[in-house]
Parts: sequence; structure tokens; C-alpha cells
Amino acid sequence: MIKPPRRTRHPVTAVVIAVMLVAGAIVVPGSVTGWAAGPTTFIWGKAGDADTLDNQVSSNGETSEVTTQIFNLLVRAKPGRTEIEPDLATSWSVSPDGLVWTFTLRRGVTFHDGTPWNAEAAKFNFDRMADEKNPYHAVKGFDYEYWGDFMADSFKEARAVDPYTLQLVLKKPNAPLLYNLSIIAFQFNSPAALKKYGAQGFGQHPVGTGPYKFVEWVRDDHITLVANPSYFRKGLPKTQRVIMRVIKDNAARFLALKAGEVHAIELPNTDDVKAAQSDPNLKVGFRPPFNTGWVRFNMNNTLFKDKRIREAVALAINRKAIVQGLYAGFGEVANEHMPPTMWGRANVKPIPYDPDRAKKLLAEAMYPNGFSFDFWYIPVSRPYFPSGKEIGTAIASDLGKIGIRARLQTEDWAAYLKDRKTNKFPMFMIGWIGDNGDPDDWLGFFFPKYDPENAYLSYNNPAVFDLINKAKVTTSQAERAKMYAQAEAMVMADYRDVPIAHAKVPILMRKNVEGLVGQPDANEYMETVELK
Amino acid sequence: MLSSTPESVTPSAVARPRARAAGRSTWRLAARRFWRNANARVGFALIVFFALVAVAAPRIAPEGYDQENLLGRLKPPSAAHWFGTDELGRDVFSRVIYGARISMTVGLVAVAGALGSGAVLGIAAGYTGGRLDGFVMRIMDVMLAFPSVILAIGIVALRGPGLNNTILAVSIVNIPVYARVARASTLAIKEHEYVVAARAVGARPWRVLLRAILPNAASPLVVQATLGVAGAILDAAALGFLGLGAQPPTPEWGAMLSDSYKYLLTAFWAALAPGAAIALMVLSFNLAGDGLHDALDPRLSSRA
Repeated sequence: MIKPPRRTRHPVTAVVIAVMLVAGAIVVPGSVTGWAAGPTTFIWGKAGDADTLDNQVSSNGETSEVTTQIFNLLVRAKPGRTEIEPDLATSWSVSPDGLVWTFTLRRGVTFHDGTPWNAEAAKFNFDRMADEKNPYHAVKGFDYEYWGDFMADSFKEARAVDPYTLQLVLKKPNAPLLYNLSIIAFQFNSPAALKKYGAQGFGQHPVGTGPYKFVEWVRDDHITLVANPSYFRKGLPKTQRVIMRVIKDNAARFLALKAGEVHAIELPNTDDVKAAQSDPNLKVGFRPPFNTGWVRFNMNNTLFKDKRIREAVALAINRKAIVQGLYAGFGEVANEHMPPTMWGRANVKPIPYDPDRAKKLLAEAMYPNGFSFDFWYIPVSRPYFPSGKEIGTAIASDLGKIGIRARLQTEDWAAYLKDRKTNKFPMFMIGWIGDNGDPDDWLGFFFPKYDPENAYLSYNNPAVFDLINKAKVTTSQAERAKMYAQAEAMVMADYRDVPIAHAKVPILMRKNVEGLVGQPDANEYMETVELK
Repeated sequence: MLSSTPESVTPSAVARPRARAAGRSTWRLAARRFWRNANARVGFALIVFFALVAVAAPRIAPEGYDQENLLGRLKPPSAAHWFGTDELGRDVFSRVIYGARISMTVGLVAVAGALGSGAVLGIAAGYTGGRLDGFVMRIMDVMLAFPSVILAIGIVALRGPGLNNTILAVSIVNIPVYARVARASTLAIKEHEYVVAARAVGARPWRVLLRAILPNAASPLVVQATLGVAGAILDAAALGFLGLGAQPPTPEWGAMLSDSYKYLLTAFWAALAPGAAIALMVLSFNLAGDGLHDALDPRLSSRA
């Protein structure tokens, strides 16, 4: 049998990569001196290209990074936060029955092409998103995913009451509406530009009201934006030009940063973050933790129906050691489903690491010598579980210490996501990255109902479902917060899940970059960026 | 083919004396030739070394293979950790030692399985000839037409990842090799006078196969099997590397390599140790196999 020399492949690959990296570092700076654009241009190194610049039809994060600079929303997340602040709407109110939202729009704003911003323009955008028969609706290869997920089932119509008053009329209350509208997928396009370029062409010719105007887009290479002098936030943007360069390889992107070809990059390799921390020319910023990874029990499984066993597992996992050891310093121990940036948290008492008590609980549950079962770990790297395998192995070894033998299993990610909705997994790792700052985006997805055939939905507590569903249609945020906190407290008291960690996501930048604030949803506002 | 046919055998005891008396001296000669070959000696010594390590793993290993220390990850080699620690702070030296057990077992069991079924199929096909021969060997040809690793991946994908399924898959993909070797030898041997004689005195087919043909077809199979252990260990490591073999925390060398190669630039030792172990074990079986080959086939060993 002729076998490829497998044992040598990886060292060889590493050497080849090393050589290419060195070669890249030497060659690249010379070849793109054109990027040296002086203190008036901020260059951002992106991990991938946008798929369109019409964010209404896209759910691609690489698109949102760009459209955030070109467009505005009715309301937006505060810099570095998930709470909302006025954007194109200056104030808003909701009718007592929760069915009519009235927005007072900002005056004196024009789109980049001179089209005035008013209620008609806003209505034009809502009509386009909501009505499939609208001439500007259909875009080949795209759908309105966010509209479908967050608005479609409650939206009835948009009304232009007067030039600066917009009303959204709903079929049923949708309390998270305000937070949902802070997602950049609800950006406002210039009606005139949509008419001029058509629904298909607008994605290549984006016209909004934002701090930067679109200049050019060279696919898989760069997108150039230039300051909008009549931007409504006075004194912004601070930098004349923004260029967003696509550098797909993490290591190459980091080298471009080191060489000064770009001023800041996203999604660096963990080891490069360490290198950046000790580099005198670089600094590290963070997107606040907006994700959570946890271990979920299949409560349809006889073993995990028993609360004592769930509690024993929770007590046996040394979450602190896992976060300290395996998150490269970017993690914090999670004590509930929502990260600290969110409102509506229960602030429950952290689950301690207590293997002795875990053993006692096992004995009480008639398993003094433990038991064995399949524990499924995620096959991919996510912010909340940087290495599913390493974390899964660490958890299994913690369980081994109290006599529970967890057989580690995994499968292809697509299959994994599907199988968690069957009863195949007795216990598994899963997580969430937030879309917006509304608790409904979190708890509403984790605890919508009970399903006896679905490990993900195997928790049967109608009181929790009632609270979450009621919170979705309640208008007062204070009341909603109380309901979510109450629901979360019940879930945690039942040891339904074992939260493991929230992780912040590093952004690397050169020392002279000021005002780049990491955004939980990964869409930084570049209007405040300055090069000192 | 290798042994000369004894002329003075009484028909009633056709196979036995030949297999005993002549066979013993053939193997003794071969052993002497094997031992004269320095490469073969090194290979053999390494195999014995690995076997001892595998048997005594729990006594030699300073730590358990799954003993984690999350705060001492990827530490370079030191007095406490001769080969450093891996991505979960486990002692790489201990894991490599335990890994010898797994690789030895996988290699030997997989080859034993492949050798057993391959030899039976090959000898049966070669001896019977005709339609059975055609049928069996066409299946073997089809199996050989698949790249072995792809076929093994297919089998593991079907049965689910794990060490036992790895052994099964590696075993199955290697059957055709042994079937071919066994058949080729059988075809040549069955024409020899002692076989014809055995048949003439009314020996049953299985007796002819077992007593006359198998002992004489053995030497090429032994050579192939020794070399095959090296191939099987590599195949198993490849499956482990792809995440289809042993599941964590099993210290299978291929899996260890795949878990640690992403830290190659910062913690090369975690990948170096299992990689070197695989290389060394494969080398040892290859050297021993080549030595056996030369020893058992004097015509080849005399080449310049």
C-alpha cells in the first residue's frame, strides 16, 4: 500500500506558511504604497467582503460593518452598548394597547443624493421591506431575513401622519420593536436612489444619510467611503475618508496591521492578540461580550429529568478554571443566559464549584458511582466557545472526577445544529450571539415552548413560557425587565442549563487610533475615529 | 516456491514432515539472515521497545493521560514535563507513552484481521480457481481501486467515529492486499508435486490448504503483514487526525497531532512528540518488514 507521508504533512505546512508569512511581510508593504493615505484616511482591515451594501436584504456581518457607516436607523445602539439612543427619530411613543408606535423624525436631514429625509421616505422603506409585491422589493439571491424574523408577523402598515411624524401600526403588540429597529438591517435607503438604480442595483450604489458617503467598491479588495459634510451629528465624522480593505487570512490581516497598511483589524488569531499586546505600535480593544456559551441538558432523557443530577453536573464543572485556561483572557464566567451588557437579567447567585456536594447529590439520586452517557461538544470555534473540543474535554474530565463518565462525541456543525432539535443528544454544548439588546432575542429563542422530541426545547415549565410571552407584548420596559429576570431566575433554579462563559471579541489597532469603540453587535461607528 | 520440495516423502505423510523439518530450517536460516541485517536489528529493537512501553505504560507514565491542568497549558519541556504540556495542560510525555498502547493495538489488531480474512479469501480463491476466484478477486480489485484512506473514512462515517471502528475500517481496507499476496502464492504452490501428491492420496481440500499450502504461502504474508502494521498505524493516525478515530481524551497519536498542530508556532513540542512517535513506530515496522523481506527471499537479498 502506498501511503502519503502523512506524518510530515503538518510540519511541512507550517514551514511553508511561515515562509509565506515572512515573504508576505517583506513583499506586501512595497507593493501597496498607494494605501499610505495620511492622517485623513482611516483604513479598516475586514475579514471578508460584503455581499451587498443594501443591508435590508442581507444578514451578513461583513455587510453591516460597512452599511453602519453609510446609513442611519430610527434608533440605534449607543456607542459600545446595547441600549438605544435616537438616530433618525428624535422621540417616540407607543399607544397603551401596544399597537401603534409613533416616531417624531429628525428635521433637516438629507440623503447623500439630496433627497430629504421625512416620513414619506421612511414609509417608502417600510413598504419596500413589508410588501412582496412592491416594485423595489425583490432582490435576486437575497431575502429580508431580519424583517422576516423580527417584524413580519406583527407589522401591519407604516403611515406618514405629517412630514415629520411616522406611525407604525401593528397587528399584535411587539414590545421588542424598538430594539429590533436598532438592527442595521432596518436602515433607511434614499427613495430616489432606489428608484434610480432599482432594487437590484441599489446594493452596488448605496445612498443613505450616514456619516460617510459611498465612493467605490472593488470586490474582494476594498470599499472606499468619504465624509458626509452635512451629517446631522455635528462635528462628525472626524476622519475624511474610510477605506475598508478585505484581507481574508487572519495572519495576513495582522501583518498588514503591523506594517501600518491598515489602522485596525477585526477577528485576529488569539496568538496575534498576545503579540499585539507586547507590540509598542499596537493596542487591543474589545467588543463587549454579547454572547453566551452553555451546556444544555436533554430533559427528555430519564437521567437529566432528575434535578439532583443536573445540579450535580453543574457543581462539578470548574467553570472558573475553564474560562481562565481556555479563553485566552477574553472570557468571563457566565452565571445566566444573558451577558452583563443586557437588561432584564436575574443576577442570580453564581453556581459554585463544589465536587463534594455534587457527589452527595449523585448518591441521593441513587448514582453513588456515577453513570456514563454521551456528551456532545461543538465541532467549531465560536466566540463563546473558542475551542469546542478543548472545553468539552475539560468539562468531561471535571465530570470524571465525581464518577460521571462523559463519552465525548461530535459531528459536522450543520448536522449538530439539526440534531440538537431531536433527542439524540443527552447533554450538549450550545451558545448564542445576540442580534440586538432586547431580552426577547435571547430568552424568547431559548424557552419558547416544550417539545418532547427536541433536546433543545426539553424544558417544560409553562410558568417560564408565560412570563416570556407576556413580556413580549408588555409595553413598559421596567415591567418587561422584571418578567425576564423572574423567568431567568426560575430557569437557573431548575439547573436547566449550565452557563459557562461570555467572551469579549478583540479588535487590534495601531496606537494612533482614537475613538474606535468596540460594539457588541460588531458594527463599530467609525464616525468617531481619529488618527492622532 | 521458497522451499525446495522434499523428494523422499512417503505419500501417507505428505505435508507434515515438510512443514516441520524443512520449514524449521528455512525459518532458522531466515532468522539468521534477518539478524545479520543492521537495519532490521534496529527495527526489531524499536518494536520491542515500543511493545515494552505499551505494556508498561501505566508504570512508566508520570501522569495520567487525561490529567488536566488548565492553568499550565502549552508549557515547554521541563524536568516535570519532559515533552512539555498540551493544550489542556496534560503531560505530553505521559500521553505519548499511553499512545504507544493504542497505536500498537490498532496496528496489530487491524493487520491481524486483514491478514486473517485476506489470507483465507486469497488462498480459497487461488486454490479453487474458476468463478469463485473471479468473483472474490474482482471485489478485491474494486476495493483496491479506492484510495485506502477514503475508503476507511467512508466506513468510519457509516459506523460512527471511535477506536473500534477505526480498527475495523483499517482492517477492511487492507484485506485486498493480503488476499492478492495469498492468492499469488497459492497459484504457484498448488502446482507443486507435494500438493498434487497430497491431493492424489485423497487429502481433503481444507487439509491440503492448511498443511501444504498455508505454510509455504506464509513468508510473503508475514513480510506483507509486518510492513502492513506500519501502514495500518499511519491509516489509524490519519483517521485520528481527521477526528474520525479515537475520541478525546484518548491519547491517540494522530488525534494528539490534530489537536496541537494549530499551536505549532507557539508550542511545537505538543505536536512534535506524537508526530515523532508515529514516525518512529512506522519506521521500526518498515525496517523490520524490509529485513524480513530480504531474509525470507534470499534471491532479493543478494541484490547489489
